[in-house]
Amino acid sequence: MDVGDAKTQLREFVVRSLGKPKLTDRDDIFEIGEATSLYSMELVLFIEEKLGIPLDDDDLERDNFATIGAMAGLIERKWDTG
Amino acid sequence: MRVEFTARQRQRQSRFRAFADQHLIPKATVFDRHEALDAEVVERLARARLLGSHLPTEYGGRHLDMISYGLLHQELGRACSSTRSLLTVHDMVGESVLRLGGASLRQTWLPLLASGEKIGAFALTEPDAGSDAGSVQTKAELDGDEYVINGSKKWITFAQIADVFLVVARMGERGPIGGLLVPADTPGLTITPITGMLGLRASMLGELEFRNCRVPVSARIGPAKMPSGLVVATALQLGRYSVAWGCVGIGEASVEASFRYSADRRQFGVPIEKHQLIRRMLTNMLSDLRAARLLCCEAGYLSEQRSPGAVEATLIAKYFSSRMATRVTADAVQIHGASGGSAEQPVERYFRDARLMEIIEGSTEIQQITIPKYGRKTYVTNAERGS
Repeated sequence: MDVGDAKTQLREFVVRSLGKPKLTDRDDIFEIGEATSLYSMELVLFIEEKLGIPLDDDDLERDNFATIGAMAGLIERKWDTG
Repeated sequence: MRVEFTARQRQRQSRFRAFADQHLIPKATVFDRHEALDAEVVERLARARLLGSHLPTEYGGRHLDMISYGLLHQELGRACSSTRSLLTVHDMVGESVLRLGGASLRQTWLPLLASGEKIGAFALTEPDAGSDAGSVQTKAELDGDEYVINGSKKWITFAQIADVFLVVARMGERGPIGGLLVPADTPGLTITPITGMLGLRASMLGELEFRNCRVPVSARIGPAKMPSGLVVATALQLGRYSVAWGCVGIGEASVEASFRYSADRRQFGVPIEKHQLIRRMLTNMLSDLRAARLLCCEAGYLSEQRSPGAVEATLIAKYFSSRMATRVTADAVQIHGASGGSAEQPVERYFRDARLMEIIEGSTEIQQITIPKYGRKTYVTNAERGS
């Protein structure tokens, strides 16, 4: 899997988990009220276990998870440094 | 998914059962009556390394796989649900520190929790905030390099003996919900016992009052800037898993007692197991129990893989198992007749304990709100996308 695959899988996971097929990369997930605590937990598990990208406490910030685009950016940065 | 347990898991289950048979079953009725565990049992749990047993070995835990961990909670739940409750809340604290605590918190607290030297408890519920965890009123305000906590918590399991609480609070006036590790002897924290519960009577509940309670910033668990209650979800995920298996334990005890009683008890010249209406009850009980155990196994296998699907599977396992425990214990009381309604038989305690299992770690109604959301995504939204 390369970083492009990882971002595609992440996008698919977020859209499926939220049940929002029309979600764009710029929609704020926290503002549309879909980011429950259970979703957050599933998302962290997905990134760490399925994509194999460990997250640090510092990564867990609103700005990194508010949109699909922001999450893709986080993955890219982690991929480059990992 | 394996339907059969491995030889190692079966071996562990036998040891857990032997521990429960020897140290819990003879005392469970007394614990229930006195509304307290005794110190000896807590010590024995610690010595047998059953507290924090899922924690990695580097911190002193046994690093049990999630199926073995479930079997431990089943076997303890079969003997004494209050004792199983101690493991639940203690391990919820350990799990949160492990997954979301910083390196310093992990190094400091996990060995103490794994050895049982310190007992942990989870403080989420408040007089006005239960299922709606987002509405907690307890606040932690930042003051220099300390958090100042004010507020109150209610129905906190094992508050009477806990050494440290994972306190869920709003971080600042409008901040996210977060967690703080607060030692029980922190100045400004008052603990008042709660007694007279219907079930899980030896769970030594308490009410906590925080008045300008100060803890260092380093006591924070979980991200400071995520608005989503990750610490609550992390703790409750393990809590629900433990409770689900604990319900299977209650179910197992009730089924066992009912089969034995109906083989011995004679009415109309035959053991009551010969009567069709009793056989129908026994059939339903046994099937219900098996179904609950399979759902727990599914949740366990997904949890072991740390799959995101473990969240949904655990919700369903907890939902089904706790309702199973209510049904099965009600039938067990019915089969036992008048003696089933008295302290003469443990089924009376199982029945009372089971009722509480539908309330703790997410009530039946909360699961009924949450689980259909997963179903809708599977069968409507995502099905329409063809994925």
